[in-house]
Amino acid sequence: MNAEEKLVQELSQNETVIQVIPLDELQQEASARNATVKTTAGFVAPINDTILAAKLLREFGQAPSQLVVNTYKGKKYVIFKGQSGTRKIFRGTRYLTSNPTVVRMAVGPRGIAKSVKGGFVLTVVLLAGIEIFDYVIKDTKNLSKLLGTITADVMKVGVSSIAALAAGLAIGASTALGSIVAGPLIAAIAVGVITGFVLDKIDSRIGATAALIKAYEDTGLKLREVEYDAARWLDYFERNPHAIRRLFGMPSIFTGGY
Amino acid sequence: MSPKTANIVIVFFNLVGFLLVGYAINDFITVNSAISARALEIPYDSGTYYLFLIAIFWIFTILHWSGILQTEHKLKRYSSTILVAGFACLLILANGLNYYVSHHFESAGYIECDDPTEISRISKGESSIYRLNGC
Repeated sequence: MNAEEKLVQELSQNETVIQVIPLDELQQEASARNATVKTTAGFVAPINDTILAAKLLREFGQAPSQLVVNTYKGKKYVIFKGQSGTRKIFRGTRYLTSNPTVVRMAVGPRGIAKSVKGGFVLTVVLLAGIEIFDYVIKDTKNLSKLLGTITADVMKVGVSSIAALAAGLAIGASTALGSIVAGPLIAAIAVGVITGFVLDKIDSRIGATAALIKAYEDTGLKLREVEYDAARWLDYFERNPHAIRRLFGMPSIFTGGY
Repeated sequence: MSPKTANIVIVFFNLVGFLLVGYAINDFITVNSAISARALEIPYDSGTYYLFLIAIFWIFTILHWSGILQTEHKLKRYSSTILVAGFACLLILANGLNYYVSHHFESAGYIECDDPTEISRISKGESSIYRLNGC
């Protein structure tokens, strides 16, 4: 190996690739894809639930299994009827509703609640992340807009999650429909998606997000006024230190005029 | 949740389903009529047809009332499959209608413009205004 080859090898070993993208291009790309990425983020939780529902269907397949939630001696149990030998995950017939496997697979009331809660957190984190990225790269987006959008998104995702939870729990608690293992998850997905859409429509109709952004802007203006007033008074007391005594001293009626 | 409350919630979603499905059908008819009438401006939300997903509660109700969920019923073992197939059909319907309307807009020469009233959105789809004379 000659010196030139050695140099090339050393250089390639210490090579670091840095891609520099102009801010304009990044902003254009972000604007073009923002809506799609946000929509996709909103669908992460339903997709997760669908994967879980598919796992449950694979687990219980066509076997005539039946799921019942019953209370024995003050403890709630999920009871699987049918052929336990054909199952891979739930090999037993009776599990506590708090059993980690039951909760992880979103079976029973606790499992459904945990799944919905996880979906809510994941969606909020993703949506907030997208908004913050947008705020960082764009000069046109101010803090009020960022806070207003995130607040509106969190409220909408929260209400959707509550509606999805109610639907999932209702199907799970129904004596007849509760026996369909994937039923609560499918109901939760459908209601979550629909509630999100309905809330988006209400928002654009009444302008809730716009009102929130304006409220944050007004709060910012008021805070700036308070800051300005405080600075003005500090400046006044610096120039007139005797006025401080007037603030904390005895009233002039007792001090004879001073 | 008690079974009684659960049934009330299920009945509620069944009834709300009529409203939402009615809205989606009405939107489909209105948009298509507006395209045929060559309206200059047509507001359209590509997420509207996902409202059809609420019909999953009708499938639940049909499964319940048809007696399929009774232990001795021979179709009971297929109840999960019927439910998932129904859900898949509703998803296909929502996406199919959306594709059809978007294609209809394009073939009629409409141009998709942003809807300024929409600031933040969490659900699937996009609210747009289709214009004949450009944005």
